[in-house]
Amino acid sequence: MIKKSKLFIISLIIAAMINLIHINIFNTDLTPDFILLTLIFWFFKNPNAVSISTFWLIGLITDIFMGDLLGQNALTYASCYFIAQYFISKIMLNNKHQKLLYIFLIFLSAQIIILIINLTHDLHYPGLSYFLQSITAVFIWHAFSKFKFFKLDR
Amino acid sequence: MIKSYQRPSKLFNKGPSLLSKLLLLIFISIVLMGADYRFHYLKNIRQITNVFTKPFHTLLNTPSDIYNFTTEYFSNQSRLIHENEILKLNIDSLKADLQRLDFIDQENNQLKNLLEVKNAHKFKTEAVSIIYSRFDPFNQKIIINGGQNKDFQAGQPVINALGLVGQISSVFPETSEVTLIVDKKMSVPIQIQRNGLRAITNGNGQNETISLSYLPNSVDVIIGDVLKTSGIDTIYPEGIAVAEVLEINNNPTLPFAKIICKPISAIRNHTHVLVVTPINKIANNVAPIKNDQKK
Repeated sequence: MIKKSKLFIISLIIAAMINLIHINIFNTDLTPDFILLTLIFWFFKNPNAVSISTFWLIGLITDIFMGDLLGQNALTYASCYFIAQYFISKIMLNNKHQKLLYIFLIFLSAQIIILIINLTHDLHYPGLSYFLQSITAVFIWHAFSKFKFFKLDR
Repeated sequence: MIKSYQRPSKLFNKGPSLLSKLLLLIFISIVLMGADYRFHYLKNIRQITNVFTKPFHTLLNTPSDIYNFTTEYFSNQSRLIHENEILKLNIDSLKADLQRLDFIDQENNQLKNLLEVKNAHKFKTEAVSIIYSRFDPFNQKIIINGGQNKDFQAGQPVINALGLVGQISSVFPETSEVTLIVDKKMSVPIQIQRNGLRAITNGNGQNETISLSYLPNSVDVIIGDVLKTSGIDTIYPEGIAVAEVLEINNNPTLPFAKIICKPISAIRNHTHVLVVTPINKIANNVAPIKNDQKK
């Protein structure tokens, strides 16, 4: 258990560092939120090990170090946990491609929540290309799911 | 066998339900966001956290720095000699231009003195490197290497060799955050070079463009017009290139013309920028942060 929690923290630190590297293509930031990707992976790997407050707390820490408004990532991550919990049985029992659709939906909802938060305090709409992040997140999930460790048991 | 993904039985689950937990956390988050939006205390927290995150940024930039260094080191010597010759020639012509410019500047000041017009403020520049750009599609910001250690203050303009890049919006111990001119919250007072018309630009936040605000449909602006800082605000030095007019939409049903411009300084393409400091440090027009601290 201790080993797993160490792995959990190390994976989050690596995700945070990847978040700082940017891949700017066609003026669009295609890099998805790797911290959220890691959290959701751990949630599906072992749903009892992470709780909604873990998601919220990690969101808050992300806000403190990298966010623009304190609490926006915390709210997004907590909501994502709720959505993921809602989808969990469907994700576990469906085939690979249907699984990816649910992952896409979770990321899309995360992006919509952040978009709503930003629009409420008078910022602009970044255009449709903003949602490409969800698609890259699905591709990354798909690429990693080929490795044995990242496979979710059915 | 009970699988790990199956929900625990409701019969023994005596804690609060997931929905009530979610609602509580959403409520706390909204309170935090509201308080932060009103009091900006995240900026103060950032002053501390930035000290911890800077080594990570330096570490992450190391591979690209090493790549740049090695490619430069192993580049063709003859090409370098050729480049050096061209640069020397360029320096000579620039020096000649500078002499002429100095003379014109002096003459201009004398004429201004004769006419009793207030002289323009003098500025000096300091070169700094860009560490990274913020991971946030809602804000157009970059982080530069240099902050309180170099006496930077919020409000100072940032330029590059081509034109205006943005303005320092937050200063941390060793880094500063620069809001680019394409950011939605950014406005710059400008003057059209061709006819001297004064206006204000506003960032569009997307598509890397800025627009000219509050100009009537009949305004004398043509595609290709160059916009330069007017210097009226005394924050931006006079005559720095800002943008070039790209598109003009005159819709008679709207009160103002929609003029879209493209920033001249290719803001994404450079690794170094120049921070502009007024020589006599006019403390009134810059530095809201330091003034606040004194109070």
